Amino acid sequence: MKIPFGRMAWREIRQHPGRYVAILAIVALGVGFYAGLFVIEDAMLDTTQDYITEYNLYDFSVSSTLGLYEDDVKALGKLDGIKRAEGVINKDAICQNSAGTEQILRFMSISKSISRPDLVAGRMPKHSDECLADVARYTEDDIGSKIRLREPDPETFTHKEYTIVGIATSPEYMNYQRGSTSLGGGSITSFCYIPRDGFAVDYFTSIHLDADTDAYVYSDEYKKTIKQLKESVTAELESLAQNRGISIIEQAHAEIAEGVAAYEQGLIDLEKARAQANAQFADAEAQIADGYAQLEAGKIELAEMEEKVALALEKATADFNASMAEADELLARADELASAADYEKYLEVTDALTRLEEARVTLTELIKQEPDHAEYPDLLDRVERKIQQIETEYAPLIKLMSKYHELRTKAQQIRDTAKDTFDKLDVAAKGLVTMQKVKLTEAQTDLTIAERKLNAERIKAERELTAAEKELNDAHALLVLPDGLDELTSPKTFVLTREQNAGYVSMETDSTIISGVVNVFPVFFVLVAALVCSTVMTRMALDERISLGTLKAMGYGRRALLSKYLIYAGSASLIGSVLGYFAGTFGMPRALWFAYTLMYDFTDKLVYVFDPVLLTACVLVALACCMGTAVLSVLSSTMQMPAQLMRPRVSASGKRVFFERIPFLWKPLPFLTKVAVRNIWRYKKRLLVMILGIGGSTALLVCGFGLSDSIKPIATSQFDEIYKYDYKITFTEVQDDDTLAAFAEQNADKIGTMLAMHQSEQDVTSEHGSHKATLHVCDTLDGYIHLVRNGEDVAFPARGQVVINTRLAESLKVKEGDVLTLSTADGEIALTVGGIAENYIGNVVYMSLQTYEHATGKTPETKTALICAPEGAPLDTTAASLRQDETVAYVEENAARRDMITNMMQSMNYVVLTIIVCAGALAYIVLFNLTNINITERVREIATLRVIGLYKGETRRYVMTENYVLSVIGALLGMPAGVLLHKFVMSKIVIDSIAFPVTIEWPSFLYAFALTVLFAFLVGLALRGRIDRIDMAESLKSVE
Amino acid sequence: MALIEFDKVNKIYHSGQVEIAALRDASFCVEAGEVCIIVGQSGAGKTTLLNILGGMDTLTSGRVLFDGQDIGKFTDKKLSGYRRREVGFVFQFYNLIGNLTALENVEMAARLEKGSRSPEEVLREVGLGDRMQNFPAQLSGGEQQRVAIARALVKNPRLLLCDEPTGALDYETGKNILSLLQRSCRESGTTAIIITHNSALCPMADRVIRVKNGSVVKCTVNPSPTPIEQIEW
Repeated sequence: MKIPFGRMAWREIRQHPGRYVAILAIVALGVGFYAGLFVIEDAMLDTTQDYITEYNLYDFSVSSTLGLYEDDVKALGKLDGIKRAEGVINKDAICQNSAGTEQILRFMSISKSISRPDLVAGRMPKHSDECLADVARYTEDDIGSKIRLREPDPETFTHKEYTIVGIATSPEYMNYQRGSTSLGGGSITSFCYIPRDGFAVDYFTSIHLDADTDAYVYSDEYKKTIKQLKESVTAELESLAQNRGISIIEQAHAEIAEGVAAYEQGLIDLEKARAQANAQFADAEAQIADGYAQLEAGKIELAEMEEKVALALEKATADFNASMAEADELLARADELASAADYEKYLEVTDALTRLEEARVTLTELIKQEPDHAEYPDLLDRVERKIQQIETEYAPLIKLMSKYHELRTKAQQIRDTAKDTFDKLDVAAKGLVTMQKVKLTEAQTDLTIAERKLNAERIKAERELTAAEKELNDAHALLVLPDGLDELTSPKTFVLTREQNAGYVSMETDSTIISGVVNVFPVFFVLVAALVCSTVMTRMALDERISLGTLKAMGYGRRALLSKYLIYAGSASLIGSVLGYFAGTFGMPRALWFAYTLMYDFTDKLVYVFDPVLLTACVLVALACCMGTAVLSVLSSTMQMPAQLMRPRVSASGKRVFFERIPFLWKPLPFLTKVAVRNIWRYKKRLLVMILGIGGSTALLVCGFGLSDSIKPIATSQFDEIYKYDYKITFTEVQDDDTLAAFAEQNADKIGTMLAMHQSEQDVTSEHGSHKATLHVCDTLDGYIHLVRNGEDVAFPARGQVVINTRLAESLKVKEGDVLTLSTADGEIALTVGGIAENYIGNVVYMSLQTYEHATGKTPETKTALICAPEGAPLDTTAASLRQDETVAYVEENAARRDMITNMMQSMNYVVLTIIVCAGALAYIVLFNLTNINITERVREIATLRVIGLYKGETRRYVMTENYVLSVIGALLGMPAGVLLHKFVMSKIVIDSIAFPVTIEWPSFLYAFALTVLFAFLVGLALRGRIDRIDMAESLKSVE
Repeated sequence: MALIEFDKVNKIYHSGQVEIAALRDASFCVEAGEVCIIVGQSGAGKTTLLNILGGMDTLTSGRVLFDGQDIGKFTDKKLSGYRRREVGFVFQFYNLIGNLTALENVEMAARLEKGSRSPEEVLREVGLGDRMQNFPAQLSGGEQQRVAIARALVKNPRLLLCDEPTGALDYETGKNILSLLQRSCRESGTTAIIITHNSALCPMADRVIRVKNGSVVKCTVNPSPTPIEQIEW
């Protein structure tokens, strides 16, 4: 029957789970730590690659001082090696958000294919007044609020406000830096994407190019491709810009020619108009003259008419008088008649007649109405008779009176007629005269009006013509070619690659930091894992001596005996390494990325990188380590004779520790410590493992804290101690004393002191190699750059000498007194190293102006100035206003760079924390495991002590004193190891421009020590229960 | 009053569903200064008796009186104190700490109590005056057991508990050890309780308690114990 080793292994695991877990844990820790660190760089790069590819970050971004247009886009797109070109518009503006805070935003047009925004929340803008806000400053809650331009600018933006409809990240802003601007305070708060028609300009501020390459980000292949393409892109761009410049000039000339022609035509038209007007006025004048002539004629007519009328009136008056006389005569005759009559009687008669007439009429009517009435005809008859009677009676009176009346009436008629006739004539005559007068007056008035009107028109016409003439002349005066038109023949173009994009570049450096560190750890962890495994296996073999002996006695071979242990160790390491691999490759990148999200916000999570080769390698190493150790540990037992195995083990004799031979050191030690020392010395393998584990843990801690110490103070070291200036200005043109003085005067309020110098990137060569460095040529650096090394000042280089920085000296393997070759624009020169000073950012070479002139015979170009701001000047606005000066091409602010680096280094805290956790885990696992085994070995001893009468606390102390002593020793030994480890790790952290000082502050040693002791203490706490629970009855058991 | 009194002591172990009675109504007493032997076959319950006597285990019911105090009701700390001050143990397998010299082993116990005797003196008394600086691995079995006895006696305990003290020793050595025990007890007035399965030793004791199947079956007092040198087996 086959021995069920698997089942036996399983039982063993169940019985002492702690040991199995210990092996599993240490393997998992080691593999996880290593694998995790190993894949971080790839994970970060893969994530970046995915993001950049999906959102298609530009390979080139080109711009020209003359602006770019659609045909430029097409021309660039056709270049060899360029897949696509797209025009974009970027404009900065000061804005206010809904809360009223002012920010400077960079508005960018949403492009369709290159450098597209990644929508994180909300939706893409559909209308020209909608926008996407920056995920770094805005959240989903801001969707719906508006961004308002502080000063609406209809020439640039089509709207005054833009509504946020979505939040996005941008491949052009992978990290938190948002760039600088010449507006306001000088730094951009965030970007803002708006649709193309949100802008009112008709040109592109830049064109993005997509190169035809699939190369991986930051790879050499990519860099090579871009370098090659850059030449053709630059050439094409320059030619396009030049052509545009020329066409602008030609257009300007053409427009001017047009203008001149128009002017001349205008003059001609003006003359025509003038002539026309004059002709019209002459006409009008003639007409008026005519009018006056007519007026005179009319006046003469009037005089004649008046004469005639006077005559006629005379006649009429005579006629009138005659008629009047006639009428009077008649009246006299009538009166005569009347006097002969009896007037009163007449009246009576007429009265009666009237009454009778009335009666007649009435009766007639009544008869008509009542023909039958008998009385009426009678009455009527009577009346009629009466009438006749009267008429007959008084006939002569009546006749007389009628004649009287007749005469009177006739006289009246004659009077009336005469009056009438006279009046009519009078009126008619007067009427005629009046009419004529009126006609004349009217004519006069008309003429006066006409005259006035003519004058007014004249004046108006004159005025208008004069104004028109002035206008023409003014317009003509403007027809000059604008200043600087000639400059358009050499426009400035800029070709930017990804290397100028802050986010892109910083990702490259940040991802490589880790990889340098990684390679130290595997060796260490393998060693520790091997030792832990070994202790467990040895213990197991010892515990099972008897069964081993029995099996051997039964005839099982060595291989069979080993198989259980191999299964045990093999399974532990297999499970541990696989678990550790996945936990590590999953967790460590994420944990570290969490720290990095302080600086990068284009994605929350890293891509998971599965490296099967790495996994296999880790598993194989773990298996080899553990199973190999198992075999070695158990081998000795299995090689013994069965009888030997079955006898009680001869435990190692107690021996004096050499320490005891120094009585004055040994005697005063407390009893328990003496016990501890003896115990420690007795089990040397255990001692070794503990020290390695604890020491390793302390070393890790020292290294971790040291990393922080080295990296964090860069900001202060470089920007407080070395750089004393506030800004570095690069001018657009080479400066001389006059232009510098002018600049200083113009910006006096922004400049405290200024030092102009030459700066350029040059190659520095020694016999060991060549490196690039920034050459500084000036008379002095006092007050601007502090040359210092290890706390001591370094003198400004003397004639023929240069001062270089420590990193450069190390790379070139030179020291003071050695000779270097420096290539400059004026030729190569050989110089001696006069001094070495510290500089953490980039390599530098300082030389005096004299040295340069003497060596090359020429004066170097001055295009740089270092500026110390005046006391109390607000640094960021000062920088912004300096930028606005036309002669300034670029302003570098030390305050901003300092802050940026400080921010970067904050993430160090998380790295250090990770290291502390791993170191703690390491110490804990090792200590716990070994102590656990230790206790198991000495159960009888501990039980005996309890029986003898030791209290629980005393018993614990008895057991744990060893641990504390070992922890202290381990920690003390671990510290120098940590210093070495730190040195090694720092040498691997190579970031192009920064050289970190390798220092560890003394508090770090204290912390590391304290933490180590803490871990030991924690183990003690964890095992308390175990020690307390040891059954005193164990003391009575036999030795086995 | 008896120094030790067991009054209807029961000890029941529970193993899952099964109950095992290690002691059933065990009752006996031991006077001060006596050498008492508890004898019985393997598994009779002697060790359990010892455990309870030594305050190393709890009882299920009954009383155990030591000098009138019921140690069954003692807290863990009080039991430790009891063991510290009142009891000295001698184990079958010596249980010396291999990393300490003979002297240091005894010192280990001596430093627990102010009233302890000088470790050197006690070691000399047990005949190991010139072996004090040796480690247990350098001592023979008998010598080791002597050291153990010295360790037990250095505290001046009122009670000496010995669990098969000669179990790992040969005949001659065993006799020597027992003789030492006997002598020391007489001299210091310590009460010794010796557990053994060898009934031939019974004559040396002042009192013999026979245990069978967890209960005390016989308790005899021996008015004139035989010196161990005269006993042969």
